[in-house]
Amino acid sequence: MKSYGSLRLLAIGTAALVLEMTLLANVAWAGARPDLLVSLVTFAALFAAEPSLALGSAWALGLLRDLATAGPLGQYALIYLVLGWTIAGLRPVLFREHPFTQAAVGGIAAGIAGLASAACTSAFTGGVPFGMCLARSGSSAVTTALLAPFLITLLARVRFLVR
Amino acid sequence: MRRRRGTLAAGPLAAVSMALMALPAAWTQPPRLVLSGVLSPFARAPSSLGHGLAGGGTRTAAELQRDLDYEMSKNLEMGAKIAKLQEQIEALTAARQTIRDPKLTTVAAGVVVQTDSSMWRRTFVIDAGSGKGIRQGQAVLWHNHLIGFVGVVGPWSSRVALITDPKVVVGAMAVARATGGASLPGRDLCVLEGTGGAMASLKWASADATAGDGATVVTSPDPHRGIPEGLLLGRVTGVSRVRGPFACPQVQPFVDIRGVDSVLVLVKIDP
Repeated sequence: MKSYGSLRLLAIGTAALVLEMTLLANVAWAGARPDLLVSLVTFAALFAAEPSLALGSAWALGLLRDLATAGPLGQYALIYLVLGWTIAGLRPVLFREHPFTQAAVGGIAAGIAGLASAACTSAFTGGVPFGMCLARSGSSAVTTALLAPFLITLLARVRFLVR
Repeated sequence: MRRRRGTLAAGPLAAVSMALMALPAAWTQPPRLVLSGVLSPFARAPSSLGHGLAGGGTRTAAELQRDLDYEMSKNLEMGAKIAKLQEQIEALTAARQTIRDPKLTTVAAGVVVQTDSSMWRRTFVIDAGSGKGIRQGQAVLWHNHLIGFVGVVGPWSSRVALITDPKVVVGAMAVARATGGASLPGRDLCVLEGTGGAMASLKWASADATAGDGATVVTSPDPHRGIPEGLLLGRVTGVSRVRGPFACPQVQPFVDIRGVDSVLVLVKIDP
């Protein structure tokens, strides 16, 4: 697996978002759904041929999530862009093929995305209780960490999905 | 890794993101709502499958308890209605004002997308927009329950913020649980605020008042926003005592949006 096509990844992102908001909408653990798009951002940043591809894909995936929320447009695009940029920057010290790495990176990214989006929601809309922020971001991180290795391995192995 | 000339960089994308965030929601939401409308035919089948996976076939104890709470809320409503009618008979001359404002009418709308892609927001999309007279801030009902307010309006669809959304604030009254078939006269005027979670919270509820466990929370009249008195909001399921004269009761809404297919939007008739 050398790289991927951005448009294919975006199409998978659209399917993942629909899945997350429908099939997985009722499968929440401690109020949090597994963040499929963060797993895709992790994949994009770990397996991009060059950083610009990772950044563009992460930003586009974030914008995709922004389309289906009442929050300000660009909020998730910015959060995912920062995540993609950070993961792409850490690539030299990460063994991207290892499932544990994928789980850890996906989980931490989901936790950070959860906390950052909670901060944005509190700033733009109204206060989200701090305890709920921590609990829900934590559960989102755990569920995403469990799911990320499977999703990333699938995308890395099944070439026709993203090439 | 070196960046090639003409390729994407983080800085411009971040700048574009922040520029998008600075745009007014009134500009950015209508195209998003149109896209949600396009998504809806594809969302129905997996949504129903997801509901089945979450235990749609076998009803859990929590679901049965919710149904029981709902039925009990209807009983409460009936009791309150009877008490109100008796009061009207006894004070005939003072009962000229009707409970239901004749200037208010309802517009039926179907629920298109039941969830928000952000886990901190509680919104859903309905298939009625400005073409049907929907305006921002209008109350959205299910039977006699207030479930939310219209947030942003598109031409054919609108996004509704549930009463548990952090953006929603509504005047409320906590009515003490009925004892021995009769409801207590005590009422606690307060404000219901969404938290982004499954529960809302009551603010400015006096610690010694009626908003204890099991109290029913209903709307207080707000003519400016067109909210009539007595619409059901939820039930108090716990009270966290904080320092000072105010308690902080948690309110579980009676209505779970996942089980709602259509809603009514309360529309004021212009003279």
